[in-house]
Amino acid sequence: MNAHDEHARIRRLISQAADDAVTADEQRAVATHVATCDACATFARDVAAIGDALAHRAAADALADRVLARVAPRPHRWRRLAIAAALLVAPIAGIVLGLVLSSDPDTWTPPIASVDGASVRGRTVVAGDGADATVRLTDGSRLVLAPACTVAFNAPGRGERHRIDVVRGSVTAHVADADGRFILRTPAGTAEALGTTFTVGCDVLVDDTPDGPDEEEPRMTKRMTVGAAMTVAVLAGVVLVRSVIGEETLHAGESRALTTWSVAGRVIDEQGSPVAGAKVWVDNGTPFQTGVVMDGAGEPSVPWRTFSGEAAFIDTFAIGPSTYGPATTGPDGRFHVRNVGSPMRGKVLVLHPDYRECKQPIDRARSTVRGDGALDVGDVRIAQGRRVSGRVVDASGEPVAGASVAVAIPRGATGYSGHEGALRMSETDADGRFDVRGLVEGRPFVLGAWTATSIPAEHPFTADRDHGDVELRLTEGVAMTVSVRDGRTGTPVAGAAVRLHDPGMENRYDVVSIQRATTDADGRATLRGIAPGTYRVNVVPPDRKGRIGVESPPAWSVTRECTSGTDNVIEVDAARAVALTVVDAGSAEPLTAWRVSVRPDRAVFDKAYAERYGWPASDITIDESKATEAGRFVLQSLRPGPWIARVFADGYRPLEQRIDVPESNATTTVRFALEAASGVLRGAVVDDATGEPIADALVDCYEWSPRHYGVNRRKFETDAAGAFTATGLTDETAFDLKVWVSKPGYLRGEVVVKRGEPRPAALEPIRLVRECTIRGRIVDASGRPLDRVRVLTGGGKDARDTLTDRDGRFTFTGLPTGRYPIVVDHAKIATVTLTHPGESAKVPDHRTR
Amino acid sequence: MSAVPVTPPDERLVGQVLGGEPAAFRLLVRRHADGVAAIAHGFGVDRNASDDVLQDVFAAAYERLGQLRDPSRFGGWLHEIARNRCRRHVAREAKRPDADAAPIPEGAVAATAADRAPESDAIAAALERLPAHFRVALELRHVDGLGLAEIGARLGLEVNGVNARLYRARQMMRRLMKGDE
Repeated sequence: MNAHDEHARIRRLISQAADDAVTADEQRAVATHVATCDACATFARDVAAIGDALAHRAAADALADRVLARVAPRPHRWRRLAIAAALLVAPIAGIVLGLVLSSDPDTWTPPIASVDGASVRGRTVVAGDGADATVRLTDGSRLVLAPACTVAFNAPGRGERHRIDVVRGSVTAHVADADGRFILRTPAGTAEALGTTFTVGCDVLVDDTPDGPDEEEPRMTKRMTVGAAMTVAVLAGVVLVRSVIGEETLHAGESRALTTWSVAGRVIDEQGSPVAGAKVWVDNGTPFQTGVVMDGAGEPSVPWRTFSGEAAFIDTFAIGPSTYGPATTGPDGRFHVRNVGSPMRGKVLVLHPDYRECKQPIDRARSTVRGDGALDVGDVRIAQGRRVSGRVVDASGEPVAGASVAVAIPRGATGYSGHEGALRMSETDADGRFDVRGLVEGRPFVLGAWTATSIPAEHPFTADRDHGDVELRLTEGVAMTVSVRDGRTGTPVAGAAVRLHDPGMENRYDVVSIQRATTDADGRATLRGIAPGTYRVNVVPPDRKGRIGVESPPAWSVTRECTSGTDNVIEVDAARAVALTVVDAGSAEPLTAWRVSVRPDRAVFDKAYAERYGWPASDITIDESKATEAGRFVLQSLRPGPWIARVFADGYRPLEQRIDVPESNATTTVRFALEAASGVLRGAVVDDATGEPIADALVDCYEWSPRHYGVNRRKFETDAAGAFTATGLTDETAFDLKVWVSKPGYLRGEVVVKRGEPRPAALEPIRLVRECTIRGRIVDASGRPLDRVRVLTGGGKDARDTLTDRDGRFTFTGLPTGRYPIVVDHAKIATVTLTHPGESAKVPDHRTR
Repeated sequence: MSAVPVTPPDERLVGQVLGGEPAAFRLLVRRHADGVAAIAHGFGVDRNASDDVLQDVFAAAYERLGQLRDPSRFGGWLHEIARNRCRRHVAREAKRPDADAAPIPEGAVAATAADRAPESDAIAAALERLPAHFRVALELRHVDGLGLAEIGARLGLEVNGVNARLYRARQMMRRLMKGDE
């Protein structure tokens, strides 16, 4: 075999070693070869780096999965297209439907059964001035009209039961359980009864009824208008709500099951017997109680990680900010998790040491609302699963008390519902016995046991039956000492993370896959409980683990072969420091507020450098400089070699300079003298409707480029004539210039001068449009305000959400004109149409059950 | 020729997420998880809790993405959220009476994003340029953690074939990372 073939063979083996597909002999052959072949050693490092990077991607993806599982989904693009299509089609369909389906207003009479304390004039009911009036409707519903309240009845459209306009005053509707949508309209918008009781207020006295009966209007035109409006409202409303809340279509009367603030039910076993002592959480997917798990009384409980005995479940359940509980089931198996916030996509989580973990989505269609307002999800069935029990003994057969025992999913096994690293942990008792239950039937597992000083003993098994009397025999391991030193000075490095990689152990199960330790003040770390042999040890120096404001350059860690029983020394290359001083070029005064972006000079980056220091780092950007008053900031964690630093300060032209980071330990100082930017931009801000100048508006000029964070930012205010003069701009066409204008009560205005385009000396007047506002209030059945309820409006990119305050009130500000469904707990409680800039609408109080 | 990152910039990804493509958020997490982890580390957030804090930070960012004024500043904006969350976390931990009680043994916690070596632009760029059959093989091995036999079953290859494919994929990755191709 020639040398080339030998290199190729070794590289194949290196590749296979990354997949644990080499024999011990092959491993030795590789080790022998790479000890003398730099090229193959580099290949091995690269293969490890690729694996590490992809494993990092897996970890990041798992994180992203958990995040996306927690948050409400954003509507997909096809839904927005569906909205647009629906809005285009709706008017035509509406006209047709209006012609065909709308009832004849000439023959239609209001569905009034009786009236008490009010007078009826045609289709209009006017309450007296003294007391509340009551209007009973033919379907059993009841309207309570506040004094002087006026309502007008309209012919209902298809699928509607009632269509009533509130002309003035306040109405409380008690809605009977019957088919058809119950609609109340005010000049501010339309409310649909989704609960059984709700109150509508109309603060504004108006002279005519919105869309109400108008005897002078030509009948055909009116029918077309009503039909089109109705259909647009229905289609747009449904599509918009679908886009906000997911896949549920709403119908009148469904809200009883949709709105709840506590969840109850019963935990039973496979035989239907109640299970006591199970812990139950409710995950509502709404992360507004950040970082705190609430206990049954609604008080902040302990964070999840203190449930040390239930580590097995943590990964699986991700008990976190949106998870409420636990409630413990009583002897009858019943639980009641209170104060679950505002459930968007509820899930009941059940843990019991003797049973399999259980995650059951809340099926609202099969849930009922109890008298106390709790959503009763019925029975949650948990399965017993399989168990494994036995004894842990030492080499002489004596029982080992207090040994850790874990049942884990073998790496590479698929099809598990939870995280692959999910495991169940236990400890042996005084007789060395253990008993682990609740394993998923039929699955392969690995049972492991260990102590701090022993080599883990393993027992792979399949949970196709209960396994009893398993004996795990522990053998004492040896210790490996690793001393970490600075490669240039020889001084010990404290606080370095030392991790042991051994392919034989690493891929068996996570709990003992990696031995870790941190170096002490003498730079020493001891890894115990390992089998004698040679291992790959990875060291990450403390100054390379990252710090605030500095993204840690990748691939800084050092991996070396270490042998047990000897004092292994690993030299690391400590980071260099570069001190940056930034001054004004004209006055030489130090600048204290600036940003710096640093990147490796790729022009001189070569293979030799890469082999010594690794692959090019990402750009390091410090977006928030912490310069001292002398304008000095020390940049750390830089590798030796050429770097390009670009410094930005507001009101100055950015400056790019090369920094040569030396091999030596000394701190390099680099001085940046920035020239003041001299660009000027003039403009004015006016009201879009009136053309009047707007004084005291904030004009925020922001220059940026995609490669960097903000280059230059300058803020000004308009004068009494609405004019502004922005100075200190770079005038460089390499940057975008964004001019944002804001003023309370107006929507933000924006003008962009794209990079590459010439900068104008003055802008056209910037026209600001007044913002619209929607307000409302959420109360419970007794009228008590509900706080922290999540309220949504808009859809797609414009989706907004807010939480109610202590008084149950919510406010959406900064809205452009348009149509806004208001959604609470999957239910649309109202649709508000804002037609005029500056309009302020109040949604009727939403009363939940 | 040096490797050129071909991953889309933050502002485009932010636009995609706002446009209803949650998959784009995955790329943002990949890109910024280490920065956030570094911040958490800087605040002294316990390793066991850092994954939870990371989740919090990214969930908050996702929820508030519509409020981000300049998508190109996603990184800085995210870091600000991270600092606030970490501050809150540290303050809450300090108040907790059993702050030091019953910590989970370090080894008992599955590896988090913070434990892994971050993915550099060079590797990300090379991966993007890698032919699909190579990329899939590498991802099945390292991202999904499948064994050779399982990869073979997915790709219709014998184990030796999987070995060969992975070897060639890694060779090509190296060449792409060095800009040789």
